[in-house]
Amino acid sequence: MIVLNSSDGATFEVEESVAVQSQTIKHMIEDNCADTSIPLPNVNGVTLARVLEYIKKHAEAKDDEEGLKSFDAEFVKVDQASLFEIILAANYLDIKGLLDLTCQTVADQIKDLTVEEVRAIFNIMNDFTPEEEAKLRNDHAWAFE
Amino acid sequence: MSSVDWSSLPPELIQKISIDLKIYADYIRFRAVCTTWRTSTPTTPTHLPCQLPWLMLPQSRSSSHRRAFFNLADNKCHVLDLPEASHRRRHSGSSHGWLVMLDEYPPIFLVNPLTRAKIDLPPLSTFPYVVGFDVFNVGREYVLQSSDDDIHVNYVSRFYTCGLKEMRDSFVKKIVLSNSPSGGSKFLALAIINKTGDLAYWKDGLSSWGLIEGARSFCEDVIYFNGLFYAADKNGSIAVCDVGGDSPRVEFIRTPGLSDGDMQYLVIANGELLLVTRYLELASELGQLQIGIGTYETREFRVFKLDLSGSKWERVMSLGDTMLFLGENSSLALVASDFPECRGNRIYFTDDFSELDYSGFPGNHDLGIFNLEDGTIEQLPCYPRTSHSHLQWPPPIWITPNPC
Repeated sequence: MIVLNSSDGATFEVEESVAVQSQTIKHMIEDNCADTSIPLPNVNGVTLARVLEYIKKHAEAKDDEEGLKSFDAEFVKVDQASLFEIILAANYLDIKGLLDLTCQTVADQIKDLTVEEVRAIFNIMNDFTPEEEAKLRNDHAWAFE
Repeated sequence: MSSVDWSSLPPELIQKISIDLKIYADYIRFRAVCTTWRTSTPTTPTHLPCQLPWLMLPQSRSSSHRRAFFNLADNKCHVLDLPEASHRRRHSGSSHGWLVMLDEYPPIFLVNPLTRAKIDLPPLSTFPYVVGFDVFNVGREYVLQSSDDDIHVNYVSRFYTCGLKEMRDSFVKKIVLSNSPSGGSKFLALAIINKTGDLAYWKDGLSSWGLIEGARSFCEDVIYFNGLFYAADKNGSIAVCDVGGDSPRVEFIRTPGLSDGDMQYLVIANGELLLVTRYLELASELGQLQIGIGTYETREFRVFKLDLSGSKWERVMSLGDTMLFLGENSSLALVASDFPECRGNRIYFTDDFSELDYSGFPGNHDLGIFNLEDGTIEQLPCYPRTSHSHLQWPPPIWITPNPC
């Protein structure tokens, strides 16, 4: 068993065979940095719990393609802030499947939206100058109609 | 409302998300959200799959430097500046997002309506059978040579002349490219010569169009696939042309004659060659004076694929999730579920036989959506059939938007 410590002090136990879905953790084990426990200062407890839920499911139900598909679909039904944290965690922990899933989820949310709608949902400020914004809209005016 | 700052995502993740966007308009809007999303992504995306074709509408008299493109995805017309397509130019094919433009004068060029990039091809005067061009011979500017067959069998004279408009409109039926020439990529071009039913080709390094010997009459349609050009004749036999070597080589797939279709198209769908036959009938326009021209309209399409022996066409009753785009463009197959507004098992078709300029004459363009399931034809949203329509020139053509 491997012990993982989140940034806010939560501790998680997980089997090594499951944990190595994270290339980051895999390399730490190989480099013998995992004597007692592995510190993960970039991931908080709540997010780490979710990530572990993902890798546990994908380890145990490896061959059940249909089951994994519906699990994944449900897994990403979270609020925007959580999705953001999971993406960063998947990137830091280098878990390809989870990163692909979450990035695709964001892309699916963005499809068909106007720029204003994307900014609203993702809480993004428009930091273009008026001239910059006018130019970029003009370059491909047809996409903004 | 989330309290995290999505604009602060690491650049490589911003780019990773952008690559999951498969529709060009979504990608453009993504890059307009904020500065980090813009700087983390390339201006010209290179990951986009083939886009849903737009319908390029005929020139509107009032504004000839701008052309309207109808987008099936949002039922909107997008207007682009395209002086390259104005004046007396006619398009003779659209391939991988590039239009092939012919003029009353010899030059031929390719233009990408999105980027306005232009590439020259050898002029019309370098085609097989064209022996001279003299702009001062008004009405007879081009001098052409008849083929040996025509001279000996049909006793036509060796040389004859052709005026500018006629040459522009009826010498070449369609030009097809092997791949997008964007970014300086090498490409091959194949042209169907209407006058004789021959095929002519061009490739990098040649300064004129070459004749493909032995492929005469394979002039219904041409498609490029895996290094070869496939051309169909009226009966569905195929000439397979390899123009990559020093001189063109042709092999044939001789099939038992298909029945009575009016036009044939070849299209590659899911890695397979399909033959599509178009059936026309004379349209009866109520209460209109036809001035000696009949307007044709499409009655149905039938789709065929080669059987396991590879020598006979067998009927395909359903295309499943695939949809075809046929007309003067390079025939195209796409998967409908990639484009939520489209439906599979359908053929989106345009006018493909009004070579001459019938603009102003009463009539409807022959375009629409053929449903293989029940054989019905639906109108295209931008072209409702009415009794007071007039034909326009050049007729509409499908073109896939290609940002590269």
